[in-house]
Amino acid sequence: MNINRRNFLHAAGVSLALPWMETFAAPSDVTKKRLLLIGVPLGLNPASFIPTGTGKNYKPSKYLSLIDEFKNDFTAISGIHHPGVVGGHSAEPRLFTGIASNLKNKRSLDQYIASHIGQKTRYDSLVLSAGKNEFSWTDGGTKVPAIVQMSEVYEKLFIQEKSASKSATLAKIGKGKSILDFVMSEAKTMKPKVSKSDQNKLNEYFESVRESEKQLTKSEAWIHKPKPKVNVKNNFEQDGRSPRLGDHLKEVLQMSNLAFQSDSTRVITMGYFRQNLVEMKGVNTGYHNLSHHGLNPISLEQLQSIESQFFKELHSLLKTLKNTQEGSSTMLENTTIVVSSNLGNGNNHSTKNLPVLLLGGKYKHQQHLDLAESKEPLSNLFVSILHQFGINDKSFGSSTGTLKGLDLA
Amino acid sequence: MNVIKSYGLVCLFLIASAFGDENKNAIPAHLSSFLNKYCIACHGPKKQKADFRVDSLKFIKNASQAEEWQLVLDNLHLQDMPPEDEPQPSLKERTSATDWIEEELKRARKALKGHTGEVVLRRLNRFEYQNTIKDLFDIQQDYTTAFPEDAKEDGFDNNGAALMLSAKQIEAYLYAAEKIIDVSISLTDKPKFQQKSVSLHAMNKVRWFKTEQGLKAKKRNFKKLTPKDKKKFFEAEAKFKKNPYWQYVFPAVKDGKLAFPTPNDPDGTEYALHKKNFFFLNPTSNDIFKVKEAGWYKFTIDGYAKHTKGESIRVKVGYGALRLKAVVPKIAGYAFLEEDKPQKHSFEVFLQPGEFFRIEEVSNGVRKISDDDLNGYVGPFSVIRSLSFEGPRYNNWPRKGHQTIFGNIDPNQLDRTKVESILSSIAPKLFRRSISKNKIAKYMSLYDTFAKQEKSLDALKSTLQTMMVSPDFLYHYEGKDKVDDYALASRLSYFLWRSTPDNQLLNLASSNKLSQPKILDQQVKRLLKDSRSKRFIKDFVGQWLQINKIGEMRPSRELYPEYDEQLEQAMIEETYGFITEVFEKNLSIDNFIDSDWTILNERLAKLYRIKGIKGLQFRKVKLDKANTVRGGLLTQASVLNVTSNGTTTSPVIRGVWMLDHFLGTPSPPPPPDVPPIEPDIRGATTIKEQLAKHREIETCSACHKKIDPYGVALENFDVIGGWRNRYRALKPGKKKKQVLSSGKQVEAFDAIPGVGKYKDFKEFRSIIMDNKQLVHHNIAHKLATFALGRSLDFSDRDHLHHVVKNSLKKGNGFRTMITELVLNPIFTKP
Repeated sequence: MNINRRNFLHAAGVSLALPWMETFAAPSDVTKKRLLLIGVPLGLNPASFIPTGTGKNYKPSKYLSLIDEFKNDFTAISGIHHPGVVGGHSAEPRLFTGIASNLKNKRSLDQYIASHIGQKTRYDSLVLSAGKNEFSWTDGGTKVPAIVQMSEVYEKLFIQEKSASKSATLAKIGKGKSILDFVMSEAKTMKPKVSKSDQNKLNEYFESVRESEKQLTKSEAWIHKPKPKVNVKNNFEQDGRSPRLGDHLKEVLQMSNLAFQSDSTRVITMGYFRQNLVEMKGVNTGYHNLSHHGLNPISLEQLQSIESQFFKELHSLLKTLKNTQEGSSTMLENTTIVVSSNLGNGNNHSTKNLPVLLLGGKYKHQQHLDLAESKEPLSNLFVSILHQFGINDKSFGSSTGTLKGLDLA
Repeated sequence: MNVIKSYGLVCLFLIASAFGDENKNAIPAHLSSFLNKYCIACHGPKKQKADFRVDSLKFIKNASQAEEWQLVLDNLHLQDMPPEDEPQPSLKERTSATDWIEEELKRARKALKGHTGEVVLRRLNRFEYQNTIKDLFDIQQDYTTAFPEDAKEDGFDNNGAALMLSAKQIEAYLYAAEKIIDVSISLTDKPKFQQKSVSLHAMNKVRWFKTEQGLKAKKRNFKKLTPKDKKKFFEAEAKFKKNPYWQYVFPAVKDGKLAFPTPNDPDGTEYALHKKNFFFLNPTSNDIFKVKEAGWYKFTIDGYAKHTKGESIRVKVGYGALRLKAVVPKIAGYAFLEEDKPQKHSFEVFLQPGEFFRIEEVSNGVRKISDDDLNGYVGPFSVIRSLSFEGPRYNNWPRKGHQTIFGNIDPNQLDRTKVESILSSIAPKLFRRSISKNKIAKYMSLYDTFAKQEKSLDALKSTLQTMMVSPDFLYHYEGKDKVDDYALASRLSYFLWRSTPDNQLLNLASSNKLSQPKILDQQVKRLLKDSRSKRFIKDFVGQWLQINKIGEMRPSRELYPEYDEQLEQAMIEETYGFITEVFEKNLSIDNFIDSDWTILNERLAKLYRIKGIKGLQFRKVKLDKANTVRGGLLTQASVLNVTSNGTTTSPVIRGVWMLDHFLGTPSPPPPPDVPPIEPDIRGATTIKEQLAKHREIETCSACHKKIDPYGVALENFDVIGGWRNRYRALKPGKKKKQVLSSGKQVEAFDAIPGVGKYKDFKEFRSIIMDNKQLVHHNIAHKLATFALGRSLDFSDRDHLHHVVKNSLKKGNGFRTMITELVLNPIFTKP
């Protein structure tokens, strides 16, 4: 059967209009809602992040003043965390899942939203990294590997396959499907020969193979659609070990913007991190060591330089998004951005009082929400975000509802 | 007290009602009153310290209930509970409680047999996959880098329950299998072996030629140059006119001093590698010839050090496809050039087309020298007499993978019968067991479908690719109810080689001989002797002690200026070397607690303040125990380093490490709502003072009293494993620089509740030695967890107890323990 399908595709070649045209072409009147999740694994120094005063009349902190120009477009949130998520760095995978540390980790916000809106774009989601990204998780509880080199993303998004290699790719996809069909039936014959718990393990195999087949089918459809052209050359050159963290971040944010603008995907996560020394003015100690500053003022100053750099680059992304009009809204209004960390304080690895910044999208912004009193879980923010995407689920992670004090605009 | 009593009554009532009609299976009254008297105040409805309640303990019906009782039993046995400052039960009370729990656990073990402690169907993890294809196909390239990372459980990344799968991973398997089969099949003639060497002077000449050509080209296109480039051109031209050879790369060595090189240098002139133009003009193997075929290549540096006062100079050699500036090379190794002793230093690596070797760094006192200071400079510097490059070399041609697949069959003359014979011979190797005719027939029909679309060879490749994505290849399939000889062969080889069973193991399995204790014993010995067992040591030790994390977080340069890559390498080397020695000589595992020897080189000896060790090579050193605290694993820099962050040490972290990784008595997780201590290195306070405050908080005190003493004992060891009497602190110095200053005095004395006081590390270590059975059990436990790829539970206790007891009887050697484990039912039964 699978072979027939494959034969069909071979015969169909590349010119035939396939049913995907209807399935995948997005109706033009629907606004493109997008999501960008940014994690900063070493935390953001609380004194430099958390503003003084709450509500509308807060006084911006050192970092927030760097993006003060957009104060109508963001909400700073403090006094919030994921209940039951502990363990310092090991809390990283749970930042956007909200699943307590004693339970198996599950899908993250980005992957969940991608499962709803991903079929509209060539890629369901992009998982990028300026140094590290352990934030993106599948339903089955595996980490989605991140792409570190933006030159690679550029190829995926914008480099058109030559037609010769296109038919080779199609043949490969066809073969891939035949292989998956076959191994699936092999796994089925294995099933009665193993114990109950092993059968559960095999179910993981079934699900993964099935999902993988789905992805192949999707790429089979998209291969006929020309890739978008962009005005930017593939000059991306940073990799995860380069000490030029600032440049790397710039590349990742630029790529995120390109991916959104070209509608190659609508869901992106990324992380900002280096273990060791970064090349930045005035910085002469490793980034991770600086986060363990031990209250030493000079280390703190250097740490702030690295963290400020993040907000400077964020500023230029916000500027671009705000200056791009899409119908009656700006691109920023169609893009929900969350900046957060699994650490509330890098110095003691506390997983409480996490820094949270919600930017863009259609929310009633311009405020500092201090939630220390209300004890709302961070997952409530995720439910509010789901609603922004028209996904009206009642819960996510460890949520107890939507985030009080945050209204959709 | 009244409140507690009434809670107790409620609890008794609950227990009674929960078991309503099973009254004969109820918790006896004496135990209930014991729990109510000594435990429930902290572990009941009112408080749930360590997230544990005794009032929810039930008569055992499943494994997790049994685990809870096991925890109670352990705490009573170890006299950890009740805490010292609470009322203590009499010995009689304690024994009558533990007796009942032991009996109940024994009953449960029998009742739950077959429902607990079973190996879960686990897939190959990354390391196993890589080793498997390496051993089957002699593939050197790592195709697993695109595989999602393997999750860890109980400290190891081969736990079946935790090894998940995703669509991305299936995709990565498809891709990897295709590549592996492609690379394995060699249809061409053996690539020609080349061997060439050059002197640094030849590279100078190339550079001179290029400089001249460059100037000429600029002159031709002068009009097109920007004003800035025009200016640069004039400067360069002026220099060139003055001395056409100014643009040298490697200075000449004349009369033992550096000098500008010229084309007329007499024959036999030697040239030096120094730090000018570093990163732009480093010598590479591409200067000799370029790699066009994948294979083994050897890069050789012939050189020596000059004017180093007996020290050697370290040259770091990297490799990779180093096109982009930002790509950091992989390390091929280090050459240690000795003073006035020319020697050849070779590095052999499997290179892919486009990859090359590059000299990355010259260190140990070699300075950057400006052109002005060059003439007559007296060192130290390194002299390179020649660089050579050779390859590709192959262990076999056609390569092993080709032979594994085709045997004697010609890949260009395939027919259906030959394909069937290929599949029948490779399937048992890939699937690690005998394969039914029926299964081969299914793969043949798959081949037939492929063959309608592709040439026979391609169709065969596609079929092989399918095999490598099938569950038979990816999972350690063991069947149901029993571990057959094939499953045993895989357990054995993946435990001790971290890879697929070889033909001998598979043959013994096919004749059902492997499970015979005598044969099994012989095979363990054979596997342990084989060099593949090094993978076991590296993987097991790296994860058990967590020293595979060294280098993830480098110590702060301000606080620890003496730390560098060499010291880091030495730390790792010591621990692997130490454990390898214990392993190879089958020494007692008590050496892990304390030993009168270790493995050192000069660099590490310096850190340990041990005199008389010269040179960078590692050797076994007898320790003068009266004058050094070193010995065993706990004083090794690697362990002390991984239990620190880059700036500070914490008795909590080290205490937890001791309990989890060394003593095997894990500590409960911290309560959720207590803020961790904020580290402070300004010098005014010590971690012990901060901890004392922490211990004052009631919710923290019970656990921290048990954890901290195991870490406080190590306080005299700093972040990099050096000895300290005072903490290091940082003070602001001139120009925003920070300077080291001396902080407060270290206090490394404490008391372990129920065990005793210690005044320093040595006394602490003796306490550990007095309780060495904990360490023995822990090692057996860790080995079994790793060997079986599953979490252990209460039902494994008896088996482990036997492993420990038997190996103790036979001298307590590390190998003995491994052998005892393999021969034990815990390993040979489901």
